[in-house]
Amino acid sequence: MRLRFSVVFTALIVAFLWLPFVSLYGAALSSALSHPTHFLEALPLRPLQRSLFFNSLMLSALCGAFSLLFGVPVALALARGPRKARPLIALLTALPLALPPTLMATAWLEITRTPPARSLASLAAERPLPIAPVFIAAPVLALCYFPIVAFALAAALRALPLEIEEAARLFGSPRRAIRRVYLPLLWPALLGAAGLCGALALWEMGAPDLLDARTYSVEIYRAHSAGGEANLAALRGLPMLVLGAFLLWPTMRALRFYDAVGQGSAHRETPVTTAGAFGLFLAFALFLASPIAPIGVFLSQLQSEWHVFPEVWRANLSELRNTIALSTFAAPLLTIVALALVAAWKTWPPRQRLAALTLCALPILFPPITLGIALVGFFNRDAFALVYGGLPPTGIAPLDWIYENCARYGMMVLGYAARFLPLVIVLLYEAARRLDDDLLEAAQNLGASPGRAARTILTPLLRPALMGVAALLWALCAAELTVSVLVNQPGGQTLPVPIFNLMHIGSTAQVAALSLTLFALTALAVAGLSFALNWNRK
Amino acid sequence: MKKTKNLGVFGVLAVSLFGCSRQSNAPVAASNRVVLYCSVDDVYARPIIRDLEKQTGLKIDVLYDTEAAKTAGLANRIRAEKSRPQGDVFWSSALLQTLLLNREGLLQPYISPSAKDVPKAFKAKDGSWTGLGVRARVVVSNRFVKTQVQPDLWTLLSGGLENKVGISNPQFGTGSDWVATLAVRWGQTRALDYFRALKKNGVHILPGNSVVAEKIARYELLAGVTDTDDYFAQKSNAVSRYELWEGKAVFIPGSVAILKNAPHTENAQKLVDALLHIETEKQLVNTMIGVIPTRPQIKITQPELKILAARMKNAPDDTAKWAGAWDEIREPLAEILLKD
Repeated sequence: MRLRFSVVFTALIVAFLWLPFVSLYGAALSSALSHPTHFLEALPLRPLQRSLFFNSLMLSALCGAFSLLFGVPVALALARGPRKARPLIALLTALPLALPPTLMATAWLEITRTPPARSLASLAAERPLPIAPVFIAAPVLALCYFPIVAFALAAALRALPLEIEEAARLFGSPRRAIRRVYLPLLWPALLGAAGLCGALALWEMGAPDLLDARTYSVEIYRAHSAGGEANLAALRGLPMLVLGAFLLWPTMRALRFYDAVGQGSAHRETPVTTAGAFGLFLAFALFLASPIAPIGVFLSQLQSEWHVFPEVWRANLSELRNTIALSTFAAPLLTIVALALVAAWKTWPPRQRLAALTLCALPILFPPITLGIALVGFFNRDAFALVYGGLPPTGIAPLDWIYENCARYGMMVLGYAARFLPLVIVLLYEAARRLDDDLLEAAQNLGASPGRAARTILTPLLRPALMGVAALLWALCAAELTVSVLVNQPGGQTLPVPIFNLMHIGSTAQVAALSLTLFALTALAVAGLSFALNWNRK
Repeated sequence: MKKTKNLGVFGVLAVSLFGCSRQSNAPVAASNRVVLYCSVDDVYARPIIRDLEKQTGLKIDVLYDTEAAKTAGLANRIRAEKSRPQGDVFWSSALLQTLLLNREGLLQPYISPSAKDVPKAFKAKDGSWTGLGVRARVVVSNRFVKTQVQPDLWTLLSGGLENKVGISNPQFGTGSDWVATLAVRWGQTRALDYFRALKKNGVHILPGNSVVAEKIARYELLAGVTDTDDYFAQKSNAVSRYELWEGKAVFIPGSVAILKNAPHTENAQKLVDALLHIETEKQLVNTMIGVIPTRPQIKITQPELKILAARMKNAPDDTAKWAGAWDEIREPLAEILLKD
């Protein structure tokens, strides 16, 4: 009976995550069967598709490379820098995660328009430089994502057994030690984190759009908005699926590698080295570029006109309210759903557990822009009128209030769930896997139901991870643009959408005030995440 | 510990509810609701909508389009929702998409009493749409540009402006209205040849008209085609220069229409009456500088706009042909634009 409940629950979540895609790709496939030329949309054969494929690939590869370039010194500072400086470095490293890529792109666009940069631009206007926009978009995106490399590599460095490090130093020259000892142990973290950064760059729409980089996400959004069929958009997005899988493969390998190697020494005091001190110097130079420069740009755009804040808050009150409320509602809800799934799988045989995890995690490969199109196509039908379009009023005030709010916010919550639930499930699964299963079994042997065992044993043990995941989710939901722009309903828009619009219109003071507001909100969530992780370490 | 946990749960619920609609105190919540799909820049539309809410007592839920998919994004949403329309009123910053929606049978006629004084050229005979504020397409160039930019589209093809001209994506917003007008006036072949030549000259296809004006103002580009409101937005920076169009200017009216099977038809009519009221158009003209009123009785102060308003009276009334012309030119144009 209990097993049946966990199976039904898992099946429901899997159905929710997969059905929109099944519906979209089913329709795309049947349309392509009747018009075989549609299959060509999925292949980079025509000049446009070739250029999109090349641009997307370049953007991902360069973003991964730049993230490594920026992240490695910071990781050295985090893991081998002076101990007293480490909490400050960790905080400064985490802050760029609170800056959505669209805001980072706006800030850097503004920096390139400062007087010295503008004189360069005027030179460029006379003699244009052959710099493709992807070469500009890649480092800008890397300034947002380098913390992923920094934290992943720092964790891997901390996990290195001290004996191996000492042996490596005795082994010969530092170069030889790096080649023979450090790289073989650290490359999974390096490649995994760089792959994740590349995948995030591949899926990003707002920043490449602002920086004129023509990638799959941007072009699919534009073509779909210009009246292109959803089926064609789905087929056109297929190469992104392959690229995403290719980029995330090292990440999955890294997770498995470190599980096999073990993280036993992650909590010990790590040594201070010269490389760490050098890393600290480079890290502070990098922090000037991110997050200090973008924040500085927004502050300078305000030109001390602080009254802009109340003005934009008043003008965008519903968006501000929606952002706070929807993130606060969605983050704990999705965390609880993921926890319930992970707890339910604890009693399953390993193979079934892995199959369920794979089914729940795989939708992460679908690009967000395709997800948005799939969600709109799937939910815009009578059966889902409660969340898409709304049910007719009944005249019963409380019921009408529920109907109205479901119609306004329901699709946004579903959008967040479809986009982030796979990630949350993977993160909590990894955290729960490291726990001792015997504790749960012991509780159940003493007569506790699986639900009670999960509530009283699993939840307290996972509390730091749960808090961290909820904080991360809050920040992700608050800054989400790609899916929101497609699924938002009248009256249910969140802050990133008007910011994205105002950026195009060029209302700099308003953009600055709203961007700082969004940054402050997400930074609070990221600070919560750091707090939770520190609590975990203690 | 339990208290802390309860407080946490209470906090999450309180914050979530704080975001929910405040209509809970109003038992007639659903009866005064109207859903507006609006592609007018939200920075200009918001204050107007706020005032209209006060005037009409309606609760206006607005869905704005993004600049990257101007008008076309919302129009496609209306198409996607045609079996279960969610919106009531479509307030577009351009006309072409409204005409296309009307031809597809997605609009319902409504002759608003507020639109009596709107000239015939700016409203459909059957009441399917009514104009609200007009913008003109203009050639703009940077004040410091050495190459002389004539007020003429063909100058943009000159060698001196190679890789230095920008236009907004002609598949969206007023860009598509502009293409449709050129196809009507020049014929499809000549219009396509023009865009082919522009492309050959390295034209930059930008996400919006505002971006065109901004890039020219910042000297990143030297010349381009944009809308009057975007020109005025950059004119204040005293960097860009205004050039009037040769002979027959292209005037693009904004449009207001009620969607077919709108869920709140009565409220939609109420909103359309308020939107098309002369005072609303005055407010739009005063806030969105560069918009020419459809009604001649509304005064404008900018000299350039006065000239354009005078020309508007004699402009050819060819809007009825735009949808057909767009159908023919859309695909070949997309092919030209997408070529690298």
